Amino acid sequence: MVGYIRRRLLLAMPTVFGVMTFVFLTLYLVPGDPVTAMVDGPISAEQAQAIRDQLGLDEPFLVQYGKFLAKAVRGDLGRSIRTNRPVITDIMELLPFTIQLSIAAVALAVILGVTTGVIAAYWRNTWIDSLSLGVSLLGVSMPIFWLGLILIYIFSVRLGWFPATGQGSLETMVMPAVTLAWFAGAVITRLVRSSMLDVMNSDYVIMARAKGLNEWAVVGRHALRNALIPVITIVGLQFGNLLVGTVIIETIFARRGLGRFIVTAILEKDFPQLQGAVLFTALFYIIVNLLVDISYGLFDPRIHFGTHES
Amino acid sequence: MRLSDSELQMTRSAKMSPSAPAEIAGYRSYTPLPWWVMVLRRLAQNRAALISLCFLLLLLVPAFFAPQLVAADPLRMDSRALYQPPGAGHLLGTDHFGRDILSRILHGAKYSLRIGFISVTVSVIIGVPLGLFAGYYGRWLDDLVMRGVDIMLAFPGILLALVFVAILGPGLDNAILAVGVAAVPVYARLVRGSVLSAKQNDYILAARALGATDLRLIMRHLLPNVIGPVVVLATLGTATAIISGASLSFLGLGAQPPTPEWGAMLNDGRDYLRTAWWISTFPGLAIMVTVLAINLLGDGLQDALDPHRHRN
Repeated sequence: MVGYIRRRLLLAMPTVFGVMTFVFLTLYLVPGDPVTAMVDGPISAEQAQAIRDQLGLDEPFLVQYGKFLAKAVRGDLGRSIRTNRPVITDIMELLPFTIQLSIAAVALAVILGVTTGVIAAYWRNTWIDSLSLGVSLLGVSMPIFWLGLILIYIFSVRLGWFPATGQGSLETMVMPAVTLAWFAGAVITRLVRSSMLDVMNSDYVIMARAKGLNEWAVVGRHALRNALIPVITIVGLQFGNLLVGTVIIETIFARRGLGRFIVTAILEKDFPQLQGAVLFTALFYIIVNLLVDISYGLFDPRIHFGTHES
Repeated sequence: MRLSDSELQMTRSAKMSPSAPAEIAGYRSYTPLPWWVMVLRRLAQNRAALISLCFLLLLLVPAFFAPQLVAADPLRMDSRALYQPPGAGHLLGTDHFGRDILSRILHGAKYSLRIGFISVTVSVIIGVPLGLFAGYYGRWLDDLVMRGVDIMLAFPGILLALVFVAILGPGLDNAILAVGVAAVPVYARLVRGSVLSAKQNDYILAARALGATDLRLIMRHLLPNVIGPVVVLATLGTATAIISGASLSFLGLGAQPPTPEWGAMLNDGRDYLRTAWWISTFPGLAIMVTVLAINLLGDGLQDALDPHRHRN
């Protein structure tokens, strides 16, 4: 197990390095001079020089690259062009909000998706099945920003059940989390349904039935456990979508968080902020998927952590 | 012996339609239908996909002829008709500038379709050759391309598109380009995978033994194998691209006001949700119906291209 984890970590290293390189390069991919691209309107030569000095733009390219990597590894992501605050400070302040929201949404998506998927598969080819498939198809086709606005209109403007904006209490979390979870929940429903259908026809489920186990035990203990294996992968992938989905959700519901931070950074062309937030999000996503990889072993007894495993 | 073109054709279509009978002595020669005819026939049996296709074709009408079709100018403001609810005068109401929403939605069809088609074209044009060459040549080229793909896929959701918009600057064309480039790794990976499995076929070995050049092998023998999956991915990708493009516009990073792009319209109406729900609701509905139709068409194509796929 330890060897397996170590190998997975080693395999992720080139990707982490590549992501850091790509994020570093974004500033240099900007057409024209990065300083004029970052500032609206005319600025004096001294101001431009100050920004160049702060970003170290006059140093040789490779030196800049080396410094960027060395600092990033130590958690130093530079300072914002606008506010001059260290980017890492802002990120650390905002990250908890975004992670809270993402985790709430993931939990909701998994609970709703697995339940609906199992129900649809169990009563396959009935109206229940069609209904859940229809809803999940709507789920993957609906832009989440539209869903968010509709929820606000119905539940806060009309009914007044939940506040449309605000932060902190559980009440303010409900609508953003539901909106964010919607798409992932739909994806999980479709996946659980088809994976349950495969499993329900397998020998061991037929065997379990033949033993005379009741339906709860057949579905819960034998079928669902095996059907959930592909779900773990998709949850890892969807977590990334949710993390970035906060870009939209936090904008709609006027919440503070990393998502809105990214949008503001783009609109204000604050590259250090953008680079820091993007790097952070990507690394977070890599780590989540690493954990997902590792957790397979806990769920799937067929995976051995031997040396011959690829 | 040199295989004639029609024989090669049969070898190839045999993959798509295994039922195509070989020529048997004494029987009249039988020319198998081109595989795409079979695909279209199977697609025609899928009612949801067919209705979706009709809807999408219908959507081309306002996309091209909206100015001739609708009397109301989508940009004309009317201070005497602000916030008109849906009704006789304005079927879907008016917005905070008194602009007719129906007219704006019909004019907006072209932006959403443009976002979908152009960005997917960008992804295909870059992603498919990358996947073909990486899969065919293997070795360092494959390593290089796949490491690049891994790195790009480490940016989840629309994050990569956001980064490209930040590099290029906000605007509709840049958003389209950003969405297209951000999806390249998905296409490259799919094509490479198909090429790797297609490369194992005997007819590739046979064609190579006959002296086919690399380019001929790729274009004549490997490309047909990847067209099916790419068509499905591109169709479903159009739906994703339309949503991504609308999301960028909604965030103010894509189409800029007063362009009647659906995502931008939604953003416009956000502040008036309390007083005029229709400003945001109808553009969102337009996005959803369009994306739903594309998704249904994509699902249908997937089934039609691969009739043996186990369908529950």
